[in-house]
Amino acid sequence: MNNRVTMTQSLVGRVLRASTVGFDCGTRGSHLDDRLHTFGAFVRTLIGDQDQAYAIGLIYAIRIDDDPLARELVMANMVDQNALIDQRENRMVPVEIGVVNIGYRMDDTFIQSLPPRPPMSLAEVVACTSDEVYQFTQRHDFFRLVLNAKEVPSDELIAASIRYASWAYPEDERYDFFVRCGRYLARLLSHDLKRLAHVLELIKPSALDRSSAIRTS
Amino acid sequence: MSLEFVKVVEQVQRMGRYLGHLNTSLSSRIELALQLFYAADDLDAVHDRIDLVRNSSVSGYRGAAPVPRPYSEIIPGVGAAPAVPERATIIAADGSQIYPDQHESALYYLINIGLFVYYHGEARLPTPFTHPELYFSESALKDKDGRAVNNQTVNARRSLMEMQWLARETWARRASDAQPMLTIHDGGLLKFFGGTDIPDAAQIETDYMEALQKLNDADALLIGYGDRPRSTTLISLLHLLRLQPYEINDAVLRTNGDLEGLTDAMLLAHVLEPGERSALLVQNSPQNKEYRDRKGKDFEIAFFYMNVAESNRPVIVRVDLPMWVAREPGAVNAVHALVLSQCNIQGRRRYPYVLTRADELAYVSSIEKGQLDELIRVAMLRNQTQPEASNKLQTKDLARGVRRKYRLGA
Repeated sequence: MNNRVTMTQSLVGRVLRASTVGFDCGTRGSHLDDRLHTFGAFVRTLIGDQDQAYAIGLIYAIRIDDDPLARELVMANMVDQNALIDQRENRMVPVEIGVVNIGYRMDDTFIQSLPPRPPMSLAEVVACTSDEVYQFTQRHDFFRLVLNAKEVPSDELIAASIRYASWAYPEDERYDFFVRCGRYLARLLSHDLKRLAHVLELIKPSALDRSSAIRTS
Repeated sequence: MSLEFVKVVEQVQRMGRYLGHLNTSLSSRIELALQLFYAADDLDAVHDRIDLVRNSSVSGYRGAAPVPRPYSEIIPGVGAAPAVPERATIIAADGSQIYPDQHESALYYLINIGLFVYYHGEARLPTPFTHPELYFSESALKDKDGRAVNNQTVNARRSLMEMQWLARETWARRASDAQPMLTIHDGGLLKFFGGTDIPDAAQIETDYMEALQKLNDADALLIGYGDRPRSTTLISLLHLLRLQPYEINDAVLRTNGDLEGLTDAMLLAHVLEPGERSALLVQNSPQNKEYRDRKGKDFEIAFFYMNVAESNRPVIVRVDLPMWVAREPGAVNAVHALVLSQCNIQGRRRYPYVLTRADELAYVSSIEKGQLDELIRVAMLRNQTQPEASNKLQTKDLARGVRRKYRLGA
């Protein structure tokens, strides 16, 4: 495998509230990481006492709440640099990350369905590794869960998750992965061609992916 | 709902009319006050008049006076906003409390001090601290006659702790952090701990003066910040200057005559442009004399007013500062400039950022109080003590509790 982006186990946040459908986790504003806290990223969290069972989800929302003091600081002519870092580092203004569940892992088996129970409060939420994303996306049954999820920008989320997952694939498999995903989406959205066209446009492989696919075939 | 708004609305409307009328009648008095203010430009004459009330049988004058010579400034003089020091350390302290409640399961009170350190001119993360102190022993909760401490006592002990933590933190940083060190106390510096209601008032006063001494030793620029001041000391001075010497007596000085009802802030809102400060003054009071007599002339408390607004709508605040700061023009300029720079941080809310944060750190919410009560109940149970709130408190909670809706299947 070449040009594969390595995703090591990294802390995204800790669970604040949860159900079997999804969960919210929180972290400090200063801990936001471009690599981890990304719309469409694959994350996992333990759902039992044993390390073998964990829920797998997609980040669908990243929310930063305000308070009256933050609003006043915004109104100042120029935001004071020290007040800015004070807001981000010292004040209790958590960043909340919304996750929709798309499957779970039990005894080394990935199941693309809602997990049997939710994670507990304060459970660690970590980014899935490249291998986990690669293994999980060998099947596409989770597409239906995402497309039917309520209060989630499902079209953008499925497209973002496919693009995110593509980086877990070796360069010479990436184009085929996009094609497989496109075909599966076509089956699911055959009744809504406008929506299908929109989603396919969002996951259209780049010229680079296409040329590497031609070279390797 | 227990407040019947139908019965209050008429009273609110009457209150509005009253305040409107008050405002109209005060505006004519402002004109007179402004005339007297600008006429008070002879500093020697003002000193003479103050000497007269200090050295006669008149003891009731509680108005302002110029700071002692040679530091005194002309009364109608104003100071423009000076240049801000390149670097400074700004430390603010504030406190909050949970008062003792006879009806709770255990008698205690809590004082929580919030400290906030801001490094002006350095790209450095500000440092927040909190120092909670739980008081539960007999000696802390009862006076020598066995009476439970009252809220006034808790307030006095909180004020003392604010100043002590400010002094401790400033002292610890005096060699390592940037100078000058501006230390901000929320409220006036002249404290009245006396009275029979506070059992250990004398000790609190002594400890308070020791904290001031420590701040003096640390060469701190100590100030007491008063937002929306209602004091009338400058108005009292103008009233005093207007009187003929033979007219001066305690009865006449009990009110401000034709200027009664005006506050210093009302007058100075017409005088100070954005960023400007008034002349340095001291309050003529037995407390201030006591501070001076006890610890020396450096400990007399002076003050000035400033307009911290950035627009044409004045925001007048009062800044108290001890004479060890007031007699140094460079120190006064640093205080003036740094307070303005702090007020600029929050945009429309013209208030020092450090004080906002110290208050936030100190504040104990009702939810936190509930959690602390729960912790105390658990600790009591662990130690074979049965916690039980009074019937009064329990029934209050029942009656004030949240109503629940009927839900099918719930």
